[in-house]
Amino acid sequence: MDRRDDLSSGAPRRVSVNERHAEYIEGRARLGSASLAEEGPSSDLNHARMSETSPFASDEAGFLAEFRQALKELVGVLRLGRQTLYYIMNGTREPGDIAEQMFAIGNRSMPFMVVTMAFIGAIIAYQTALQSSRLVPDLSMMGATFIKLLIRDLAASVGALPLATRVGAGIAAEIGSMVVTEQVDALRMSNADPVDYLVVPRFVASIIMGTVVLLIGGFVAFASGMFVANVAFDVNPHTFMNLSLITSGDLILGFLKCLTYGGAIALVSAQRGLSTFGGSEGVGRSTTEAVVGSCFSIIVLNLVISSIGYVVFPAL
Amino acid sequence: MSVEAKVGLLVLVALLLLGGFVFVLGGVELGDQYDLFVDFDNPGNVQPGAPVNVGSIRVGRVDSLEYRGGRLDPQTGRRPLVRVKLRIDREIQDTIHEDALFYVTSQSVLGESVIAIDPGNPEGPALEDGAVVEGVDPPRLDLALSMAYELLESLTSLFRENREELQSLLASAANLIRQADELLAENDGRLDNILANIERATEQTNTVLEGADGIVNGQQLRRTLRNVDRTLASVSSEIDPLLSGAREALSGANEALGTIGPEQREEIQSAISQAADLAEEANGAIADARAIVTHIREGRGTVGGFVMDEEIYDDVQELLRDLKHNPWKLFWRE
Repeated sequence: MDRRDDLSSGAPRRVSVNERHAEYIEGRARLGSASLAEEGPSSDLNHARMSETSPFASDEAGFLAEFRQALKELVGVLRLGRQTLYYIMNGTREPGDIAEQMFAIGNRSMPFMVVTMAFIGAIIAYQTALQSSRLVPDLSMMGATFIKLLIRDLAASVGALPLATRVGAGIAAEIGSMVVTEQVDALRMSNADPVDYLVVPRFVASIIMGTVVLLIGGFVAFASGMFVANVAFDVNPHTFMNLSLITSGDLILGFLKCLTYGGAIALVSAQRGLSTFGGSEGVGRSTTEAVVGSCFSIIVLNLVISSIGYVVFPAL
Repeated sequence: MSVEAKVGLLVLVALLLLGGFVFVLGGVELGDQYDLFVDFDNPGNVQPGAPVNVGSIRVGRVDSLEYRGGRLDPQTGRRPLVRVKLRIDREIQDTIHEDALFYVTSQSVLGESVIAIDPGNPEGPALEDGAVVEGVDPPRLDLALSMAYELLESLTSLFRENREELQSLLASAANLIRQADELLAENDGRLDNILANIERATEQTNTVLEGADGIVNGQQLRRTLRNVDRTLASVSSEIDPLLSGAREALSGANEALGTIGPEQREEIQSAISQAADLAEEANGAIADARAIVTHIREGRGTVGGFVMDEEIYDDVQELLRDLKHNPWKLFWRE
């Protein structure tokens, strides 16, 4: 059955890890570098041959190959997202699965996120006040600007990066380990789809608890920023807590970013986890790629959502 | 505590934080409030939710801004461009009076725009709920900048187009100042003398003024002024009967003139013209008489000679004396 037909029918095709491994080796072979099985001195020799023919050919081919690979991974993430949405509507999960994942993603991330966001809030407030005071010696509107910036962008976008390192790495390592130890294959043999069984609870939990963690992290950043502004720049807390610049559009935009980042971290990390091969080394590689991919997806999504928000809810 | 409870607690905390934030952001006021409407032509950067202050103390907020487009408001008779609705604490209602001023200002140099209220005269009546008042528009910095820009542009073009003339003018001014400086340096001693003379003249003037002051404040002047005052008082007391008499005389004359009809006026006019003719003839006769008298005085003619010539007088006197002694000479010739 064709994959497109498979997706259009609503039932995603189950791809085994071996098939993914084969696809990966095929892709690398198409790059002209070397197959995974032949990596080593011969690979270097191939590079040397290409460099002899054209000094720019290898760079161009490498860039195109990387771009193609990135597109493939994007398609893979989107496909996984579609499958996840399908199983959210039609899947059957163990009771308590989502709660466990929410606890792992949310509650266990709180100490790390609270400390991180406290430092981030303090640094942003200090730098904002420092640079502002060099221009205008009036910090009465610093709090209003700081809160607007925090709600509209920084609480979600900056907070999502440390969250991605913790949650993304956790999801990718967990699923990747299950893949290399063939537990995922065992699930398939038990007629349990790994997307329904592994990805959906993490996806739902990540969306909900990602929003919760970023929300609380934003408040922590605000509190630490207010504290630093008061201690270092004598800004009255009442003056700092100025919500006059906040609009409903800012709240909607910030909330939308929290939801989107939570979902993106789970999907990207789960996709990297499911693509793991090569034993414990592969798990490490997948974990790294999950963190990098999650952070990158957050930056790209921030650009997209902020651009849309700039048109729909212009920052006055 | 179960995993579900821990997760639920965290979510609950987040929801409480979010709810509290939205509650504060929405500007929910718990106390009783009343509305005031302020008309502006240009309320500046005032936004809904902006604070309303009395003496820098927040007493309410801007609820909404309505664009009215200069339509006539029959209630106030004004044509406001923008009407701002204020929600103000009820407890200060009796301190905002009818002559209160509502103006737009900012909390700091770069701060948020707020509406400040000057409460007005405490003895005046308080503004009622829903009252519509006229606000004081903030200064239009943009207009001032635009006008300043135009002025600068004009000055720039002026300097650019008249560069040579301006350079010549500046050179002339510099030359003039230099010459004045040289003149002052050359006549330093004379200037000192002039200044000393001026000082002396000033002292003398002061002395004269002091003397004049003594005269002005002297007894004689006071007496004169008292007399003038008395005279004016008597004139003032006499002027009313005089004026009434004059008014009566004028009214009598008006009545007399009113009795004269058109026919009598023609007769009077003809009589006046006849009198004028007569006067003219009399003038002619008088001129003739004057000529005769002049003729006589000059001793011309028989009568002139008789009157003015002393010899004839002496002859006549001698003749009369002779006749008195010798009457027969009237009848007898020797």
